[in-house]
Amino acid sequence: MSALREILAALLLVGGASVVALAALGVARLPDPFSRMHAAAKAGVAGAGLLLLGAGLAFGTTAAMLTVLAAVVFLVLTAPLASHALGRAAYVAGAPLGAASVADALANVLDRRVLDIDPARTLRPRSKPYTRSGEEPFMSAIPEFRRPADPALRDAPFSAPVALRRLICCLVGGPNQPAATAQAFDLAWRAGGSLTGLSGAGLEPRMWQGPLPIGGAYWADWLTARSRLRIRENCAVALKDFQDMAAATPSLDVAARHEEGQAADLVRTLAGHDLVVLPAGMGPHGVECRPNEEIAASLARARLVPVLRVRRKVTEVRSVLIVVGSQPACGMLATGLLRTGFWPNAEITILPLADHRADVAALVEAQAELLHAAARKLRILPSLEPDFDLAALRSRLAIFDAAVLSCLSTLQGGLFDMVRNCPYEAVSDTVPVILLP
Amino acid sequence: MTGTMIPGLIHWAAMIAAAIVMLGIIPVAFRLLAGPSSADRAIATDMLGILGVCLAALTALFAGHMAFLDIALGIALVGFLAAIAFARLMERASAPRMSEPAE
Repeated sequence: MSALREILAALLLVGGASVVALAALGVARLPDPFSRMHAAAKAGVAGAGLLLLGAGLAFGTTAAMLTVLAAVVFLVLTAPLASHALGRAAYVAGAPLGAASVADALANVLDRRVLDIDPARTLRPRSKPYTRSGEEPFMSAIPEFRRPADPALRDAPFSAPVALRRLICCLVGGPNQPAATAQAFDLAWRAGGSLTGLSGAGLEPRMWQGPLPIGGAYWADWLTARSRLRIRENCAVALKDFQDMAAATPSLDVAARHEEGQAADLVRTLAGHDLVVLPAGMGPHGVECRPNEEIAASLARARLVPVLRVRRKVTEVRSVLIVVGSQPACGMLATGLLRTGFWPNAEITILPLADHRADVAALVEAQAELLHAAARKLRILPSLEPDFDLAALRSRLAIFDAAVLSCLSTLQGGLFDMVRNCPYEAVSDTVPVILLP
Repeated sequence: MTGTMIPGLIHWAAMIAAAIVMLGIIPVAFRLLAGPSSADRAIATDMLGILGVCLAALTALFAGHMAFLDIALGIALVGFLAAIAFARLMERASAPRMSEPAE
């Protein structure tokens, strides 16, 4: 009896091992993932089950047999589940079918990604490049902004002033909104253009994005509803303020509208306008935020329309500061200022940042030349080193009424956020009016 | 092993079985390294788990200790969970991307 058991155990061990080895060979040799999986799931489990039974018989004790039976039952129960899940995932992920396969029963049942290694299917369409050669690269991503729209303006020099005929004033609420509204009315009155008050655009309620704990969906909805309510209250206050001012100046062409939508919709709304006036410090969720998250900052990053960010209303601008850093956009600041035609009598001061860096000196020189050619009063300050004193810079900045920047903050850069003092941020916290051309 | 009727039979059978299973590792490793799609690699990983179960059972015989059979059970369990996790990962990774908001 015992000898029979041992012979049976030996046969099971060797036979099971052979079946497992054949399954392994099948995993390597079969033509497509689905048949490979069939080898792994069926032959692999059968061989492993035989080998386990052999091991249990070789021990011969009840405990060993029970353990082995548990393992075999577990394998037999789970292998179909695992291979079903893997096969479905492989199909969805677009694993290629072998050349010998007869039919694809799931052809219109499951979505299937197209893998590049599958020769039977076409490749994914490549996304076309946005820009054509000879066009400004950043203007053409959105069709409404394919500038210059007017063929007469196409040949004009780039720094020639463009009449600010259509202004837009974003009514987003916040402590600086009255100043921004007043500044927008002042500008429209001087330029004789039309003014549109746009409330709510560019604001979206704060949504929770990410995994939710149990019961978290309720609180996420609650937070979103609260945020939307606060945005609407802010907008209503700002809109009423705007309409009061519009009633006070009947000679002006003023329109007001309310729009709700995502920040991306604001961009299309802005097409055809010459300048956007925004209050300082308002973020896209209707609460105050850091300068690098503001609506003004993201609009300036998109480089579609010049942005005027107002902290305090300034009637008569006497001195303008241009901050020139090492970013390429800093080379267009003087051009942008001349193009808007703002502040023709103001004295212009150029503040270079760290002029030992490449290109900063060249950028400063080119812009000084341009401003001299436009017969502006010009002064160039000594360069600001990266380890400047923040309080001293703030006190020096207090004399300026307006600043021209390329961005509101560069604090997102730097390894481990090492750069604690950002000159752009100091300027945008101190100077009342900032132009982001 | 106590009280074997045919001395050395189980030992030699286990040795041969271990050699065969070891040979089986080679094609699976090839598929794991070469397999053109990620599904192939997941299947090869699953198969490696099954080979691990077999080797654990054979180790139990070599060591003469039953605890390695429990290890075989544990490897089978972990292999199942790994296969399910791989499947979920692949399915989620191939779901169509959400469109990114424009600036």
